[in-house]
Amino acid sequence: MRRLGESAGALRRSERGFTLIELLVATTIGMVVLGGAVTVFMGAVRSEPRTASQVSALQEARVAVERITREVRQGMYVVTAGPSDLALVTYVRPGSCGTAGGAAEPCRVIYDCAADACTRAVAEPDGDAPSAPIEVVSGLASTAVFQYSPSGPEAEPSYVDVRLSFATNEGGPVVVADGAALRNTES
Amino acid sequence: MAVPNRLLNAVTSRFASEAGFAVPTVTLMMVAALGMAGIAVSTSIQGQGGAVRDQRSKSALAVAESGVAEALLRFNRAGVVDESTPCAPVETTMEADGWCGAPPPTNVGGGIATFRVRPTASEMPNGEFAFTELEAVSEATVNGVTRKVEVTASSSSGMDPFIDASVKSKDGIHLDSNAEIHAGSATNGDITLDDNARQCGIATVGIGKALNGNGYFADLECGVVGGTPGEDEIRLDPVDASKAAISNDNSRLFSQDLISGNKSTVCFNGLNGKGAPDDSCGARELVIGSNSSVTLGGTVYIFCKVRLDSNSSLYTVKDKQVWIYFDSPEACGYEDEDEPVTQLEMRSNSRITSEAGKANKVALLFVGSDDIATKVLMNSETAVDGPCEQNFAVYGPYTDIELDSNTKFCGGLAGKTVTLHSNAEVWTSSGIHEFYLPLTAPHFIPNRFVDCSTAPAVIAPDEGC
Repeated sequence: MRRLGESAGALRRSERGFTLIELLVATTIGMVVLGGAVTVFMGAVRSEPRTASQVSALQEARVAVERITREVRQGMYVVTAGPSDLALVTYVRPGSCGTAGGAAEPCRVIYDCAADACTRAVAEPDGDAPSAPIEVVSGLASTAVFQYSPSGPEAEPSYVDVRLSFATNEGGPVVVADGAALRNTES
Repeated sequence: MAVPNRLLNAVTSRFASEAGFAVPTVTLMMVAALGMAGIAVSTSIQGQGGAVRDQRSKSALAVAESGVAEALLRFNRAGVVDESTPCAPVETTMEADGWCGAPPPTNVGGGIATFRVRPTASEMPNGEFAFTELEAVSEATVNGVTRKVEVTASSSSGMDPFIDASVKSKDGIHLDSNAEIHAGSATNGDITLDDNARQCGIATVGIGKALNGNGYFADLECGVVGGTPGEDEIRLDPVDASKAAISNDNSRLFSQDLISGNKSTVCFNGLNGKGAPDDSCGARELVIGSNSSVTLGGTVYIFCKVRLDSNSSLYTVKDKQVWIYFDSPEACGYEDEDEPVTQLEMRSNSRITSEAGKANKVALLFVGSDDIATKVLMNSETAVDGPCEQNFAVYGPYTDIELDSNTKFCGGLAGKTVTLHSNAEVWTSSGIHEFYLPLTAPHFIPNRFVDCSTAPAVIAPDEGC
């Protein structure tokens, strides 16, 4: 009896590896987990174009904000200070508003935001000879892009806040914001 | 006891064995979790790439601006720069492209800033050259993102500080009752008009400051009510007397610059007009006693104090621009006391005037001090017969200017504060618009800022600006 018992014990100990039940249980759990992962992955794959589009829009917005704040930073004075339109005299690359030369020249830059896009045009400092507006950013959730400090009817803004807001399918809007002080004001 | 032991061994063996479903399950779960985490991390990195670049770009801009700030600091600290060594403040030499060589790069906040400068000299009305413009280009790189900025700055050397207003003050202008200004006024502080005091001429006050009182008129004749004055910031650059301290005409007193009247009451440098020791004046102090006068034949003088007693006069020769400097109280050895150091005191009926009669021909320039208060006190009390009793320019950005009762001043006044006591008057002079600041400390202040493109500069450092 004792030998029989030892033999059975040895048989049990020799069964290293997985039993059918173990494999079934493990596979089932694995399938469940893998299914979840695949679902997530497929969701990510399906949303990738939308995400890529948003990333692209964000990148576009960043470039636009960078461009606007750069021109504000080099600004001399603000001509029009509205929430959806900004006109300021600022330094731009030579030849942008008529005069040729090797150094940046002062021109009037006009940003106008309507519908879901903002356009940019360049004119002479007094507003003459404006160029055709060119779209610089689109897909905006709001055209209230600009804020000023100081603000008010008689105020001469010395700081401009730029805030581009994009609608998203879920949650609140994505906002890219920046601001700059005019560095070439007379005072 | 054998059965429990065997059972215990079996359980222990089961737990110790790796033959269960734990390993494949955990492995699969880990693979799945890592996959999901990888996707999340990848998306996050992609999304934040732009933000990181934005941050680096802003850092690079800040570092580049620090390079410009350093360039301006070096020039503003250097004082008057000799025309032959324009690049001395940055410790380099002029290169073939007309720009000073680049000093060693500066490490600022994890970025490297390099800058180059180009000082530009211009000829002043007296034929001297002064560096009146400074162009600085600075480039900085932070974690691979490069930004370049250019700043053009100008100094007041050779400029007319009275071009827009004949009375200027850093901290404020105060008119006691019945005092009047018949000239444009500008201050960074308030203008206060007491009862019946009048400001006749365009006035500007500091940002957020006000004109208090009812006597503001927009014209010199006090005929047009002025309304609310504009707000603006004025600039009064410090006086640099370093050159005058080395080269001046003080030695002419009293060998060539002669005394008229009682020589024993005139004193300079511890000696009276007769050459005898006199303790009524110390080093570089000039005292002109009552009923005496001194005629200055030179063009540059530097004093610590000047006192004109009643009925005395200090004349300057005709058709010469005369600069009378008042050195800083520290350089004169004065100590900080409760009362300000009165560096110019003019008592009743005393005069400082040029034979030419134009205000711009006599300029009193006060170096002053941030730590020791200095003062100009003019006391006339004369009946005003002619158009101007005192006829000159006083320029002291760190010095308080006080006109006592009944003083009549004609010319330009620029001080830390300007106070007119009762019945004092200030009139503008046509000649004051010909006044210019001599080689003042070249305090460069930016007037043009350009955020440049960062294309490599081939011909000149300011390419792309």
